[in-house]
Amino acid sequence: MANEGSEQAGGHQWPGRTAPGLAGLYGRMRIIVAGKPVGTLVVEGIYVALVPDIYGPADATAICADDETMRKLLRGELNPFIASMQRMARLAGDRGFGTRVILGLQVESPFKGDSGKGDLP
Amino acid sequence: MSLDTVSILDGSTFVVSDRRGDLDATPIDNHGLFLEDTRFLSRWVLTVGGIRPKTLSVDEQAFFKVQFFEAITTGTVYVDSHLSLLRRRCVTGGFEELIEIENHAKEPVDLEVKLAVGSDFADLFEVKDKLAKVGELYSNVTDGALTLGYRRNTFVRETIIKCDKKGEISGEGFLFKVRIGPQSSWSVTFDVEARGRRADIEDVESPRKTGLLQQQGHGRGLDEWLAAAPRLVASWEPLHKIYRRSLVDLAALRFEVGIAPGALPAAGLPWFMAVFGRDSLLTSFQSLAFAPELSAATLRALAVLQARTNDPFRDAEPGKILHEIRLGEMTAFEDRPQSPYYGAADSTMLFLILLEEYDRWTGDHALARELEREARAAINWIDEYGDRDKDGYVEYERRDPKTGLDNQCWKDSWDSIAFADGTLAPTPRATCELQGYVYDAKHRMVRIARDIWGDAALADKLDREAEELKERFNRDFWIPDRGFFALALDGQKRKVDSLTSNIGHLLWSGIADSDKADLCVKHLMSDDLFSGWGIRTMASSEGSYNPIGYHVGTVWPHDSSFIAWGLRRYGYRAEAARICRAILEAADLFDGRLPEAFGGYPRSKTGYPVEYPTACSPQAWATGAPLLVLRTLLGLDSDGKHLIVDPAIPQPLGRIELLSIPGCWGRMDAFGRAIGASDE
Repeated sequence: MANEGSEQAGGHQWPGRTAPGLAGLYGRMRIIVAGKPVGTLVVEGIYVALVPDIYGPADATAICADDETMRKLLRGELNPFIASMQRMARLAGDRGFGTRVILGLQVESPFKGDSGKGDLP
Repeated sequence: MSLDTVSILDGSTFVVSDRRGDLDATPIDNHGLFLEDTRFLSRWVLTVGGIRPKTLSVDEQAFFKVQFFEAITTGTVYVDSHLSLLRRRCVTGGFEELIEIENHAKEPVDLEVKLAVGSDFADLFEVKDKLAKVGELYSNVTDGALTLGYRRNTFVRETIIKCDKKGEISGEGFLFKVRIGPQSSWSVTFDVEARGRRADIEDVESPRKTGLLQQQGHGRGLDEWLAAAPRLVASWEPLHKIYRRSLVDLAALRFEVGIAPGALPAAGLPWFMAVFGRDSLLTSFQSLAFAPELSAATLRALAVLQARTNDPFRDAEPGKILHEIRLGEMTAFEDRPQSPYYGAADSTMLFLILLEEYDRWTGDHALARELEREARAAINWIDEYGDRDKDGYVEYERRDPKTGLDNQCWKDSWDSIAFADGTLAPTPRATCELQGYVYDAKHRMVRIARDIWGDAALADKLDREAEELKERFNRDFWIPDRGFFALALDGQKRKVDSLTSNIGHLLWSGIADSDKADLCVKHLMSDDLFSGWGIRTMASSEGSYNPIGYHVGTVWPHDSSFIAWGLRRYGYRAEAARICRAILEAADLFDGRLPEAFGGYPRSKTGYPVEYPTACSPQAWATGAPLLVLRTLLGLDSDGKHLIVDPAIPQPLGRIELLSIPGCWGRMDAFGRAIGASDE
């Protein structure tokens, strides 16, 4: 999946990637791994980016037990309900938004090809 | 629900006890404290001086609290008991329980009060099978609190029990050695907390409330709920009890899933306190004229959980609306597919049907706009995935033979789809009501596409497809020599020729041609299908008929309520009224609360509706049945601007007034009376 950009309100390019499963969604999801905030998933329609912001506002928070769980969720490879039941990953805040994002990433996640580098912290 | 048990609940947390208040789970007695499809407490047995108290009375004060009055007696009639006992229990994300012992004697008494506790942390799916646990059970006592726990890798569930009196605490329970003075009392309060998968997050986001706060909140919530519903005035007195019972039970079955605002109806107590697509959608439809907010919450929650991917284990395909979610251990480790499971071939069409009905009833067009993406995906699912072999009909067949549901229509038991001679129909099965739902969904979406989404091309396409389906269906499903529609087309495209209640759903959906509808009505009102209390799921003339067969002869009140609504649609007012009257009279004999199903025995034989042994009660769509019946009797509908009232009320029901009905008109009243009934 190639990186693509979207026009922001300010007119500058924003380095989001295309995520067709997130169409219609807008918001920010903080990601916490092993109790430590590691970044924020910024969703703008069908564009998504993982940015290193750990202080800005967030609509939802994905609390992941470990690094591997976070990567699987971002790649759309982990069922979020299974992850929640096993306490590997849970959502806080706006769980509707968080659930839509995680389920949406199951559809051609732009993070699928990541080998652990790139956007991922 | 057994008459020997007492159940209280709050959302998906519920307690099932015996009539003493004890939990003593066995494979037969499914007692326990349950949360998230897991039993957090399987033993909670009180003894006083080594004796289990005898129940004097049980006061089920509300759906979330109960009181047990008991005596500590040896059982002989010659010795009066001088010790009485009160147990007061309230659900609070677990429960709180007050135990108070009164000594009525003139002498003090020394007693050992013992509470034996335990938990098997059984998944709801294994409760009846007593399966061996894979993980480790543990217990510990810390700071006066007993913790019972279960751990399997990262799957951890705990029950924490605290009390306000000092006693001996062990892994098996609590022991108090007390002296109660003459004409005095002693009490202890227990706090039982069930810690599920999100306990640590909920500690921060929504801390657990104390019992008193919880009771106040519940009481206020119930009062507001009842006050918001239309007010009923009826000359047939039992109707008041039935109406109130339906509203209170519907309130009890509401629960918040946390992924969308508002509460939606769970399917039923005790084993179906979970999100079920079909059940929540049909119940919301039945109650739309009374509590439209249930429809909005149901549609939003199911939209969030709509399938995005193709997943054979879960019978999921993009755009499909779920069948069921479960949160217990067997689902967590994928022994079961309910995470969520999408094995329902009708829920996607029912989603579209409810969306349009809600839009037209309430005038809240914002929801149809908000859910446009999901609704379009649902429309796409019908032809892209629902019609598996592209023969123009939606059919189902489980894709995982080990865990999938054999039948994915509302009659989802294994033997429900059979030929007249009793032979099971091979899959894939295209049941007739599914085609009716497709017709109705597409027909309804024409208006939404054109007026709300501004997509005339889609509207025209759906309109054309719906009419083509109707023509095709009336040709391919009709059985000329029996004069009704086939129950299904089987895997070899043969007509499954049993006479069943499914043909009534074809009237609700509007897919039946008028001449064929007339013949179907004659069958529906015949002695073979109409028991006198409602429409049998299968006619008594058929090979598989069994009056206590789950989907092959019992009467399901919700089924009959939709059939009555369908009869009204086709102009059969008297027939609809007859069924409505029968359902309400059955409800009266069930003390206002209709069970999920009851026996299909003829009324002429029994004089009362015979209970079905394992029916859920309260069950959501049975609870909704009297509401849809009321709507049918008064002929309530919406044209998108006005409330339409067209009553057809049978003589014994006299006069019915439904006041302050919410809808796009604001609030309006409706009146109706039987011809010849007085105004009194």
